[in-house]
Amino acid sequence: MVFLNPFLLFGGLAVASPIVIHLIARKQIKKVAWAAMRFLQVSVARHQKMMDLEELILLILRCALLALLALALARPSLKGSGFGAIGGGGSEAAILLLDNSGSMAQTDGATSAFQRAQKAAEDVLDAMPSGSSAAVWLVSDVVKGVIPEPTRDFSLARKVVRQAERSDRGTEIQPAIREAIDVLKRAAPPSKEIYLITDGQAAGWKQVGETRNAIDAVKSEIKTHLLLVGQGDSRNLGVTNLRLGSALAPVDEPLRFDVEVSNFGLEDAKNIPVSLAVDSEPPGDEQTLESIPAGQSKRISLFIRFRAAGFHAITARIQADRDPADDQRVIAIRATGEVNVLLVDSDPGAEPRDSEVFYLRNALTPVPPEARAKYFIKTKAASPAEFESAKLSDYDAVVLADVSSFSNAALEALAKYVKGGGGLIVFPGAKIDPKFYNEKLEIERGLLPAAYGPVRGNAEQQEQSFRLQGKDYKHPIVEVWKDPASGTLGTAHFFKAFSLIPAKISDIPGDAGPPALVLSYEDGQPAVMERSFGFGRVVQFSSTANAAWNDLAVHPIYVPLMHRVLGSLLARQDERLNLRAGSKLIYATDPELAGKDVRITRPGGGKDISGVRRISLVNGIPVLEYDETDLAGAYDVRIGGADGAPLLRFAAQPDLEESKLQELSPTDLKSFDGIADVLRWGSGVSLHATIQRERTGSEFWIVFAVLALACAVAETLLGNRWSKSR
Amino acid sequence: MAAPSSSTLLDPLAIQRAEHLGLQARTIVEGFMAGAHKSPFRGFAIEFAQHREYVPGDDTRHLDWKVLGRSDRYYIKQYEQETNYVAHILLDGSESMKYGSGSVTKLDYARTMAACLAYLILLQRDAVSVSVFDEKVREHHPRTDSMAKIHEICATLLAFDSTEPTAISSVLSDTAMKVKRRGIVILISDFFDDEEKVLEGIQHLRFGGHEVIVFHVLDPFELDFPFKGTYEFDGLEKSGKITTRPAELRKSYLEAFNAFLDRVRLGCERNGCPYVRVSTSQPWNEVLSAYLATRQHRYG
Repeated sequence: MVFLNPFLLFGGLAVASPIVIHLIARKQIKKVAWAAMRFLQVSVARHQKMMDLEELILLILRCALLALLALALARPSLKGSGFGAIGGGGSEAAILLLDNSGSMAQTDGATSAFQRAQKAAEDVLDAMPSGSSAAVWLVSDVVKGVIPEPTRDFSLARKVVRQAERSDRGTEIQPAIREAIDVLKRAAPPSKEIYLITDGQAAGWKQVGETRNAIDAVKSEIKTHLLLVGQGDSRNLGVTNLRLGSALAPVDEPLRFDVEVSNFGLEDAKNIPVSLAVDSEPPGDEQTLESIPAGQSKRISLFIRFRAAGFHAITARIQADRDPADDQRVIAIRATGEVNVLLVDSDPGAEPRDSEVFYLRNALTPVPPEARAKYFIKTKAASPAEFESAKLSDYDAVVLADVSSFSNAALEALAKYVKGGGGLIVFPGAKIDPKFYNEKLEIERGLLPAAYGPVRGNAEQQEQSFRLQGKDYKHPIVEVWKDPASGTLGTAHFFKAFSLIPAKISDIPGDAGPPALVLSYEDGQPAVMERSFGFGRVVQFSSTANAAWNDLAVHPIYVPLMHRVLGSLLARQDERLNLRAGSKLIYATDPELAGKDVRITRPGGGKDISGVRRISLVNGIPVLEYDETDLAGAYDVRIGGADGAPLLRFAAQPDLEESKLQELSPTDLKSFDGIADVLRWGSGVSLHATIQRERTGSEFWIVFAVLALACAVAETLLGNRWSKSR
Repeated sequence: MAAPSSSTLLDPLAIQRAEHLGLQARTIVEGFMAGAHKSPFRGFAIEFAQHREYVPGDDTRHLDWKVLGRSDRYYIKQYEQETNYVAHILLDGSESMKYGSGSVTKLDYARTMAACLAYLILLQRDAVSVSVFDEKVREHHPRTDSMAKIHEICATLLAFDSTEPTAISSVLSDTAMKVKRRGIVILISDFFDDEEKVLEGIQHLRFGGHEVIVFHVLDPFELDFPFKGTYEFDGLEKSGKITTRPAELRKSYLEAFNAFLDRVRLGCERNGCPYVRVSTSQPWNEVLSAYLATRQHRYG
């Protein structure tokens, strides 16, 4: 038996008071000389024994009344055993693990799981015995110790709980449990508890066995409570992917966006309207998916136009369901008003058609010559000598077409340009110095994804050719040709090409990313490779840009291929605009913004939920870093207090796993029996009382209170009856 | 009222108190009698009262010859007669009479009552003797018809302070044997004795031809037993101690006490004795009225 207010047991000493009063009363007996003694003697002889017995009974009743009252006030409860359990109501050190992952957004129409979790956390704090201490951690795929160590400042703990925000991050329960165990092992009080308040989403319990073992190992020292506030749902649709389908994002051009909608439920979904909107404008396009089978995804293409250049937030929406977090997906796209490409031509030739970049220029600007001035892609041809002195930052991409070599200064400028976000396309040819490229660009700088190896084929003997792969297009640049309706790249003939020897992963310099295969020949030899470098990207071809070594340049597919290649170079910068919720934004800005403070407004908010960051120089490049991206949606970056169009807009996307609302299986929950208390909080359940009962067992003070009342009634009735004259 | 030492008749304080008691008795009696009453005892004594016409059978010695000679009518002379009887006042001075819930004990009250009765009797030219007793007669004032002796009587009443229990029956028997001439015996007591024996003593007196008037003196607390709380009752007349809650025993006590009162009253009535129950809270005139009522009833 446990007493929740053990100190009130001292009230039992009041049992002595009726006896003391009785003894004092005996000392205060009035004395009187009496003449009619014999009549009194008769009465006393007849009644005194009964009176003494009645007095004893009343005394016992009064003592029992006080003892029972003391017992009732001490709040006895049945739990544990022995007198040692009297400390069951003592202070404890607890860590509240509040799940703020994306799945906690699921709502019953009135309150979200996260709001219920906040309420539950407050109930837990309320239910703690006085003198306890509590830490509050927010748990998603990271652990944020808002109050890292248990504190006795419960008003702070409540404030932290109330002000906690849900994130759109994923869930990883195990690290939080392990960390909490480590912290509590260092805590002093004998009673240590972990309260994990979660929706019990199965996706967050990938290592349920290990988690269980960790809890089991310390269960004698640390008690763990799993408070499940989720309601589970077998139906959930979510926008799981949204990306620009078009190669580039020019202004006033119809742009295709691919929207993927997934059905995470157990039943087929039908007639799902999907809309696409730019910024805060009404939806620009809307279509309906007829059906999505359970557990499957479907893609739909929607079209919109950008009215102005700059950064835009594109939102794909479906109808709201119980999990609003994945009912929309936002990406940030930079609409390009003008794309400037520097074409470095090693040999302009006598005729335009002889130029190394003749086909390339036409492919990049596939409009009549008189319309080129208005076309969004502007090309400028330059000789290698002009390239040496060119201001590369004026261009979005640089194409080296069969440039034999260049100076170290140009190499330095080129490397800095790419590192700062520029795009580079390298075409070989008969004039290039492979040794220069391999040593200076590939090995020394890490600019190129591959080294130029031996030349294969003979451009003079065109009867022998080889082709590009005809299927299995995996790289995003060529992914569009997955669909046979889009045509194939396998029709182009290559007569001569350098072998591309991919850079070794172990030799990758600091700014260079891993080499990636874009296209291969049908024999599997790399045909096109790419790699990121700093904030830029490099695409390396194995054959010429013109028709000297292949006929790709005269194939219709050359235009979309080069647009997609150019688009991938531009997207290299922009792909950093879209990140997974919780990831850190690292974005290279314009050089003139270095050292300036910018205000970042989080999704759905006004100025009150914005933060200020300074754009600092990192290795000479102005970089904006921002890591408070727990919420999915669009983030606006503005200079100081300026309003209007944002300087930069980026977006965070929720973790797809959070859309899977299935809870831990009953078997998994059952496996925690004897290891942790699993408590499901539904509507109408007083968590405060439940926790209290869980902690202290069943209180039965009411029994003592009723007995005390019975004693009081009996004492009153008997006292009244027996005090009557007889 | 403090009890005087019994034998100090010359004690100035005792004398003063006796005079005070006498004065008190006189004041009470005269105040009581003023203009309201005549002697209830009429006869043929020396003091003329009135005439009435002769009727056959009247004693011719009382014919007023002068009236017959003048008017030739037969008138009889009537006189107010001084009854010449002796009243023996027996005052219970036992320890039980020393109880008083207020400032006046039963003995105080009884003494005043006895003095008043003595004064009243002397005032009516009868003789009175006074005895104070407990187990036996402790103080006695012989019969006297002189009003001048009232202070001596009062001194006698005050002289005794007993610590002994009562034995009324033996005193009554002794009185019956000693007093040969028939008279009135006025017994003033609380009768906290064996009432059967007391009644036997009364019967003895009655057999001796005495008229017995019983004044049963009781304290209001004895009659009502209004105690609240826990009391230790220290019995007078060496009857031990009892600690109890009297309120809870009141009913039972009153039953026993009222039964006792009834037995005494019925016993007196059976012996033809006027029985007057007196509470010490009663005014004196009520007591004297009760006494005179008994005389009226007897001789009316």
